[in-house]
Amino acid sequence: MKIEFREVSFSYPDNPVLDSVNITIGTSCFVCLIGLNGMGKTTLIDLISDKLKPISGEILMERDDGSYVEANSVENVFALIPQGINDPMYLTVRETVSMARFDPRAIWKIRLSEHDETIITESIELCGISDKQDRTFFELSGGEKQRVWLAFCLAQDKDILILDESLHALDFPSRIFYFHLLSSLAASGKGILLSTHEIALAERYADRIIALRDGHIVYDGPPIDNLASLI
Amino acid sequence: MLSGVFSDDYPIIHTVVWDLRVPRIAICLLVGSSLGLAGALIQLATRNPLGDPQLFGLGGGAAIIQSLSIAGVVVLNPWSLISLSIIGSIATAFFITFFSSKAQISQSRLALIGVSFSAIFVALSMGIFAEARVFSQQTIHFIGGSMSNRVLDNVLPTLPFILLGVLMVIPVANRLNLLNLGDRIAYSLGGKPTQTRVIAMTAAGIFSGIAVSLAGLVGFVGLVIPHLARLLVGHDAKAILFISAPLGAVLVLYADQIARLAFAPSEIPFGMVTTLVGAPLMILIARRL
Repeated sequence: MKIEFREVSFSYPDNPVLDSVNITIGTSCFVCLIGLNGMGKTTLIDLISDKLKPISGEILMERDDGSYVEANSVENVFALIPQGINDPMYLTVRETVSMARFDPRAIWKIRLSEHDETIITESIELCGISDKQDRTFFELSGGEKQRVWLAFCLAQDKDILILDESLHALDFPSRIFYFHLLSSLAASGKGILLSTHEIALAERYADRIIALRDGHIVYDGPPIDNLASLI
Repeated sequence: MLSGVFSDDYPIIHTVVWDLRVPRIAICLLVGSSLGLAGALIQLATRNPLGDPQLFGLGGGAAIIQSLSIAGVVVLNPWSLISLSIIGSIATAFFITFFSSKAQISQSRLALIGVSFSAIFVALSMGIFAEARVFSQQTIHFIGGSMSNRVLDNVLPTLPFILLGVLMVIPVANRLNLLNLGDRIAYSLGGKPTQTRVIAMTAAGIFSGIAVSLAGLVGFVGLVIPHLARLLVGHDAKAILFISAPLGAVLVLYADQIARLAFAPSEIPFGMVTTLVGAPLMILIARRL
């Protein structure tokens, strides 16, 4: 699985956001997208997730077998956590994660398969929330909610995870746990794109850093010192 | 007694059972299950716990056509009247959903626009009654919601629409669950949120239209039932939809019994009973939001 930006530009009326961006995001790599507010991080993720359309250029999604995902049908290609997510307050952790196993082709699915249940259980365990499975969102802390959404992403069993998350609600140990987990997921083969302001943690855990400034990519490569001065 | 039900030897019993009680029970069950389903569909599609067919104006088209008929402006046989009313409601539902969408239909927009349309339709119905100078028992029963003066002939035309509504709901029932997670996640999972919402709201329009055509403006059944369903079966959309129909039927059946017998021999509109039960509950729910 590979997501490729070719000369992608996007602008709101009188406000250019991205200018001729070229990047490729593949599997087995933890990519951190950094940049100040308003520099196009969320726009880039919205373009991938088909919420916005590029003004020019194209975004190609290539499957492992060499075929391409058709335009306007990016459903079910990668797992996404968008910004400003609505917590389903009265659902339990397990119910929420179970929805990741939704199958658009199954019209009236009453029960999840054993395979589905295994994946759900594994994802919940991996995110360290096994003991909170039966709690509702009402009873979770900010850090725990973040883990539920990550488990939700993992349970979709996709090669690439796109995370547009504000981690500001989390305390420092939770952030470290989060980055550490993402880094180990990448080591086990997942492709992860995380938009973040945590430059210090990105330097330590990411495999690759993409820095955006004024609609251009000012840095794309392995973590280096002094990233903060670039953006 | 029983022999009178099944033979013609006792014409009074026969008439009471077959011409008065049976049609009324059938209509109660039909109206109740329609309202329950419509309410559940609206609440699931809009993620709004205050979703109710009447509050969201979905029965609007049916209300206008029924008012015109009661006022004597249009004269139609039961088949055409009821079909036309339900088609009017489908159009209304479609209209409200269409107005709520720009790129995607947002829940709060749908709620606000629905409530506004509802107010317009009620005002228009009242206007029609006033203009035609009808303030009869029939008008009160329409506004209050009542099952009196209905015969089996009114039920038959609704059957094809019930079938249509059910056929529309089945394919989207599973997808309605995903709307809980927000549209973008639903979309990324292949859940087609906008399409799901349009289909669910149109089906809700059908069921609201059936209820308005048969019983007039009945408040709060569609609001109360899905909450009751959630208490009983949890949060799975399929289970909620499945249980909402029988729950609504039972509630309306009892409400109608109370309406018919509480002040016998005079009969109050049963919508008054459901509103007296439903309104305090709505206040409770709203306080918890």
